[in-house]
Amino acid sequence: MSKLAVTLRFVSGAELLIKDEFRAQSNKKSGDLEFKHEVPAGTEEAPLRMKELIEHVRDNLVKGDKDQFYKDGKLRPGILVIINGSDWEVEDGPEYKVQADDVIEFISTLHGG
Amino acid sequence: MPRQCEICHEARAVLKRPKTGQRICQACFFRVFETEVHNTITSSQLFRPGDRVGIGASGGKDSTVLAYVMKLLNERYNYGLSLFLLSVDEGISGYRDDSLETVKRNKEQYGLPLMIVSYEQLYGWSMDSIVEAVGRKNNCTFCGVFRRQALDRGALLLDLDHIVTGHNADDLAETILMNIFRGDIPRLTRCTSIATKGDGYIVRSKPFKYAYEKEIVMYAYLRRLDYFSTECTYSPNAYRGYARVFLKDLEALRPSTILDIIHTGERLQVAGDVVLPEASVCEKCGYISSNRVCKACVLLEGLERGLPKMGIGRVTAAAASAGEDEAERQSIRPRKPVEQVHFAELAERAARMRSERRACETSSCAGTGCAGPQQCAGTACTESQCTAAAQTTTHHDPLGK
Repeated sequence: MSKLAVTLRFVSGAELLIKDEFRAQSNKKSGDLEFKHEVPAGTEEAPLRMKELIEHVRDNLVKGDKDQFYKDGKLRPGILVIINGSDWEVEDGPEYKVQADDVIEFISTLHGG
Repeated sequence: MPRQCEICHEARAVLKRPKTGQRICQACFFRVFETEVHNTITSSQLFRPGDRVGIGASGGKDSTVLAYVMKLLNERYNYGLSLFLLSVDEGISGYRDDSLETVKRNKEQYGLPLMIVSYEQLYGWSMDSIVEAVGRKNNCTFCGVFRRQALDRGALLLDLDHIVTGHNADDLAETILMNIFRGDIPRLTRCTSIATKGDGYIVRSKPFKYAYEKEIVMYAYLRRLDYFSTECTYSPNAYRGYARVFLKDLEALRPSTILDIIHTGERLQVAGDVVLPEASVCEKCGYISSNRVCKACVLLEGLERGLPKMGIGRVTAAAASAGEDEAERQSIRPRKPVEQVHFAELAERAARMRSERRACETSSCAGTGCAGPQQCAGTACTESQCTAAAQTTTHHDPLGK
């Protein structure tokens, strides 16, 4: 199956959910994580949507308790998703069809100030 | 196909507002977010011109956005406020030390004077040493009780009129639910007020009371604000954690849930036959307390006598000491015992600072080159003939500033 390369960012606490091996690939000096990642592109009839990308992240990138990231069939409420600088709720949310070179950010809000 | 902003119909939408469901662009979002906070401030008449306002600053997203927005609104609408950053250092290594670095950067970025008060200076105990003594089970009780007082002490040291905190709509909805679940009627009635004078000395308010957490995070994100985000190393507040997740699940189904809960909380009326505790002051430290001795003093006494369970739940001194070994008690005494300053004395000093500052304002330190307290805001001026500067310097020295 062909692959799609996207940029993933995990910030504001979301980076704590990601396996250490991806930390090494990050080009950020601070706690933020940012790296290029290849995901299976899906097929012409069933192109890769955010829904599948999130499941891919859960299965391959998230460490430990997966419930912290994904629960009851969806991304944990309280984690914001930004696609190319826009709130994913502006577009189609989980139905958004992922494009090559998209920048996809996960921002956690589930911690105190 | 990118969507257009539903307000200006020109730019590309970057955010769906949880409050209204509108999809809006960055410029419109900044404008509505800032205007709504301004409206909250003016409709509740939170400030008077000339007020000295401390921004409770933790380095986290809420207080960082609050500091940015307060500075911006103060300039945009000429509130006439002197703004300060006020931080509490609980003494939690690997957490608060890092977040305070963020506050120090904010101080430079926003050009606001910063005061840090620490548990160690105020109480002789850092959270690290408290955890060493009491373990990880009840340490949040100590931290919460000490923090409230610490902010008030810091505010009196700076002679502030007002403290603003970054509590947002999501936080408030959680607090309302938690008070309902715990049957805490006094707190349930108090928690919804935008401003409280519950501690007797300084008014506290929450300008973000109606601001959704999502919008605060998006604001910080889009403005590229520098904030710190790590969970406290000592067990997160478990009860609030459940309330938070429960609320987030509800919000996903129905975004207005958060404002609806706040609305409910605001409209609740306590039946006439519910007796609310009467407020008086602690006979040891002068802090407001419904008991003879306030919670902080009870907890401190427990720590100092080596009975750290004292003041937790309903444990009395006698019960706490039963079965405790004297040798073990000795071992957890603080390394640096601290004489707590009585609140009445702090208030007196603050009043003295105020009258000296007034005198300085009228005579404006002629001939010394000091442009007066408006310039130094009472913290930075080093001109020895400026009375405001002279007395703030003495106040800052004990804090190691």
